[in-house]
Amino acid sequence: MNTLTRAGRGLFLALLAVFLALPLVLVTGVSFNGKQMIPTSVGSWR
Amino acid sequence: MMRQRRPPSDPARGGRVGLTVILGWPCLMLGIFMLVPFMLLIRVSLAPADVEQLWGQGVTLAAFGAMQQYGVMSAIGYSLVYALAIAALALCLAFPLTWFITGMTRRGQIGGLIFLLSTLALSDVLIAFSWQVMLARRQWIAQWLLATGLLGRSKSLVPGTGAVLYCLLYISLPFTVLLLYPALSRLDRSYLEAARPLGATPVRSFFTLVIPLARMPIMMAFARSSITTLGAYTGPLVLGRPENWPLSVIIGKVALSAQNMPLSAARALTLLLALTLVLIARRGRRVG
Repeated sequence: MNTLTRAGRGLFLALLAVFLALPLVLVTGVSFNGKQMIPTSVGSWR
Repeated sequence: MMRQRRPPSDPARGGRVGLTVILGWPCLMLGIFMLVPFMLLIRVSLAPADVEQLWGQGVTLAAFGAMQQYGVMSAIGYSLVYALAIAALALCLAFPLTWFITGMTRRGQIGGLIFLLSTLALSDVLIAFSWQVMLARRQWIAQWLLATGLLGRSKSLVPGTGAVLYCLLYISLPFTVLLLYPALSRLDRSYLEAARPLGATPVRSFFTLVIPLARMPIMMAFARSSITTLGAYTGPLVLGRPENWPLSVIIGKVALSAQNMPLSAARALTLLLALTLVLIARRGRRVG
């Protein structure tokens, strides 16, 4: 039970960390990559 | 030689003057920064439209009469649904997250809070465009959903209500954690240890002890999330479909594109009235 609780907590924290980190990583990556994130360029991502 | 201060002739009067001075400053600031713009909003909503001068002279209720245009009622509904859903979701995720953070070592807590604060470095515009890029058809989220069979065919996940909810939740979550953190970090965990020999499981102790003890911060966090989500503009504009736009986007469109300030002011007042009615209904239900 204790292991299950610990695993659940770890999974919850990991998923939230990924959710919160995604835009940060994207903005950092894009800014270093030199691509623009302005609306006119978003069409090219689709 | 030391000078001795004379005691005031009337201590009660001195206290009253001090209290008036102390309370006078915030009251003055509230008057200037809240009441004056609010009165201006009411005045503009009652003025006839005039594109050249922003609003015309005289008084008319024409702006309030145009409420059926552009799906205002459905926009009010979307505003309230987004606000309440995001506040509830943010609270459901932030409360256990804050609880886990406060249970970490000092170093872990600092790391977690710095990480949360770093997400606040992104403006809502950057967050909205980030989600727009990540939920696009060619990006890995859509591709992964397609590979797992959760998505029937290859398509972009934006615009859509889900994308708006992700974006608004992302903006609300750090603030909710930061509001809950002081209360939960001060909460005495020995209560939980004391409840254990009495037969309470950790989950039961969490729901019957921790949550009631943190009721006020929970209410504050819920109110903050719902009020700020009610005024969210960029996320719904970039990620939502026009038929699912909340009233804040419609107000912005009317004010900036149509240059109709009285109509946008009337809609802002309507949104405020809708929120007030929801709060009154909630309070009435609680009292009842």
